[in-house]
Amino acid sequence: MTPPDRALIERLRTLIARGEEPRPAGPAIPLAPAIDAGLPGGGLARGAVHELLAADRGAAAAFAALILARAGTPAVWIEPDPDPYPAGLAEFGLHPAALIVVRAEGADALWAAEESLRAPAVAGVLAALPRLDLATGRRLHLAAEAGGTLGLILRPDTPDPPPSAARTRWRITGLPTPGPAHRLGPPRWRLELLRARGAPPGAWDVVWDGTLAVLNRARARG
Amino acid sequence: MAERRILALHLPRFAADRAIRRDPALADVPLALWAADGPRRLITATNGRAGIAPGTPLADAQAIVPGLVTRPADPDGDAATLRALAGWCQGFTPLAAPAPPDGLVLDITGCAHLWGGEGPMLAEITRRLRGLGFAVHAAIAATAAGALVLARGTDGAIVAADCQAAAVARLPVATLRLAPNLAELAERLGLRWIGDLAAQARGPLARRLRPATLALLDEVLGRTSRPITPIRPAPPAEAALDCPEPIQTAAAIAAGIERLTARLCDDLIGRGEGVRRLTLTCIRTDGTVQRIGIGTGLASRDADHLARLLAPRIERIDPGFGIERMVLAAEVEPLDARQGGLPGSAAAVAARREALARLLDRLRGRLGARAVMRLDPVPSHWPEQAVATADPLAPPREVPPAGRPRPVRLARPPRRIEGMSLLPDGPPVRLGAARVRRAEGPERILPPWWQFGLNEAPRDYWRVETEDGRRLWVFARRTEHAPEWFIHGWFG
Repeated sequence: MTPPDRALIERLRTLIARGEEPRPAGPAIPLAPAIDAGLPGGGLARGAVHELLAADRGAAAAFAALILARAGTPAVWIEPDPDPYPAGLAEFGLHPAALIVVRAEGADALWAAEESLRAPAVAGVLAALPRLDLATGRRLHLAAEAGGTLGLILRPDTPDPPPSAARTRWRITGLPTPGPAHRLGPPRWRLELLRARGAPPGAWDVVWDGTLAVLNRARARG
Repeated sequence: MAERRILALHLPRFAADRAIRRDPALADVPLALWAADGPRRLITATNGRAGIAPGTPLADAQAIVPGLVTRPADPDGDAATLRALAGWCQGFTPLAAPAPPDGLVLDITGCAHLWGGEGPMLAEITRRLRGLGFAVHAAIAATAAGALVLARGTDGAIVAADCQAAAVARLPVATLRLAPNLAELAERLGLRWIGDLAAQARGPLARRLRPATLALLDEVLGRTSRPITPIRPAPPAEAALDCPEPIQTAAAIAAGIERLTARLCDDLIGRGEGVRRLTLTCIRTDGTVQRIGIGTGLASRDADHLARLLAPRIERIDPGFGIERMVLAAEVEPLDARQGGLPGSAAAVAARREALARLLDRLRGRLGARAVMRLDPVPSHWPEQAVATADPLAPPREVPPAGRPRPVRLARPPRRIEGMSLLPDGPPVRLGAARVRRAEGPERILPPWWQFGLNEAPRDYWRVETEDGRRLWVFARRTEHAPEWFIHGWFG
C-alpha cells in the first residue's frame, strides 16, 4: 500500500474509534441498600453531577473517596491545595494508583473539571469549587453526560446553599462515637440528602466498617 | 572491481581522552578508568601519564602510582561518542563508520582530490581530531582491515594497493586484535609478525587459528575486501511552511499549525514514530525567530491533539511585521500502529490509556507539568515522607501493608493549635475551642536520624475525636516548656 493511503487509513481509524467509543453510562453507584431504595436508579447516577456540602472536612473527603472507588478507575481529584493522603484513602477502598491529583483553582479548576468530566476515559471526578453558579453547574452536568463520568462537587457547608443543577445534594457531618469514652470506634457520619431530582430528601446515620451500614434514619435539617 | 581507498583512524587513548574532554581538570594528572570484571576491578584505559598497563587490578594500580585519579569506565557513552565522531567525519566523506571500540574507518575513494591529495587529507583530519582533544593515528590503504591495522601499528602511512602486503608484513600480530586465546597460541607458535602469518600454509593455519582469522588476514593483506557499512543519521522529523505573504493574526498561525501537524503526522505514520516534544519556530520578516513548544506524556501522532496542545501557546508569539516561514520540529520515539479493538480487549485498554494520556497532556498544557500528578505511598515511618508524587501514567508502585490508621487528609505543613492536656504525656483535653471526648495513642514517631538537615523533634501522635464528631490526627512536640500541639490530619 502506498504511503499516502496508509496515512489516510490511520486517520479514518482514529475517527471511527472516537465516534464509537463513548463510555456507556453504566449502572448507578450503590451506597447502602437502605439509602439506594430512596434514590432513582438505585444509587448515585453516573453521567451526572452531585454536590457534597462538607460540614466535616475529613468525613466529606472519606465519603468522596468511597464513591470514587466504587465509580472505577481512574478518578481525578481537583483542589487548589490538594492534600489527600494515600494511606488514609486506601482504607476507604480508593487505591492510590487509581487517583490523579490536579492542583488548580478558580477558572482553571472549572476548566479542568469540565475537561475531565467530558473524557470517557475518566470514571469519576471530584472538584473543589466553592463558588459555583447555576449556569456553570449546568455546563458541568452536560460535560458529565457527554463523558458518562460521575462528577462530585465539593463545597464547604454554608447555612443557605445557592440553587444548583446537581442531580443530588448531600451534606456530610461527622458523628461522635457513642458509649463510654476512650477508644474511637469506626467512622460515623450523618448523610443528609438535601435535594434530589425525583426523590424525597432524607437523612441517615451511617457507620463505615468496610461497607456502609445504615444505623437509623434521622430527621433532616433544612 | 575498482580499487577503493580507505582511511582508518585509530584513537589509542579514546576512553581517557573522552573523560578529559568532559572534565578538563583531569588533563594534567595520571588518570585511569576501571571496570568490574566479575569480582575484580581492572584498569581498562589510562592517559599517557599513568605508567600502568590496562588489565592491572585497580588496587595494585593505586599502590603503584600514588596520586592516581580513577574514574569508572563508561562503555555505552564511549560507543555513543564514537558514533558521533563518525557522524562528524561525514564532513570529509559520506561513507564513515565507527570501528569499535576506538577506531573509525572512512571510505575516501574519489574524495581525496578535494583536499589536494591523500597526504594533505590525512594531515587535515588528524589535525582537526587532535584539536578536539583526541590522540589519533591515521593510515590509508586499499582495505578497511588493512588500514586499521596500519593505523594501530604506525602513524601517517599511505600505502598503495600493491604495496599493502609488504607494508603490513612488518607489523606485530597484536595489531590484528585476535581473541586472547588465539593471540597466545600464535605467540607460542613463534608467529610474531603479520608477515610470519602470511607465510604459513593456509590449511594448517585455518585449523589452528580458526577460519575467521584467515579471512581477516586476507583482508589485511589486501587480497579480499569488504565494503564498510556507513552510519546514516536519522532524518529529522520536520515539516515547514513558507507563507506567500507574511501572516500576523493568530487565526492564520493556527491554520498553519493545522496544516503542519497534519503533514508531520502523515510522515511519522510512515516512519512508525510518535511525537514526544514539538517545537514550532516562526521566522519573521526581519529575520528574528519566535518559538513555542509542547510535550506529551505518551508518544502521539494524533494531528488534532497536537494542534490543540499548541493552540493556547499561540498568543505567546509576537508576529512583528509578519511571519514568513513556520517550521515544526519534533523529537520522536518509536510508536507502533494501533488497531482499535473490541471493548474489553487489550487493544481497547491501550486505546483508553491513550485517551487518558491526551487528557493529561491538555491539563498539563494549561496548568503546568507539576500540577498533575499521582500520589504514591512510600514505605517511610515519617508521615510527611510517606507520600511521593509520580507521573500518572507510570506503572503503579506496590502499596505497603496497612499499619496504624492514617488520616484521609494530611495538613501540609502541620497547623499549630492551642492545646491543653491534663498530664504532661497525656492526650489533649482541649484543642482550640473544642473539647476532646476520646483519644487513642500515643504513637511516638521519631524523625529519621539518618537524614542530615532534617531538624525535627520527636512527635507524640494522638487520634482524637472532638465532642462534635470531628476526628483529627494531632501531635505534641515536646519542648522544655509546655508541649506544642499541631493538627496533622483529618480522619474520615
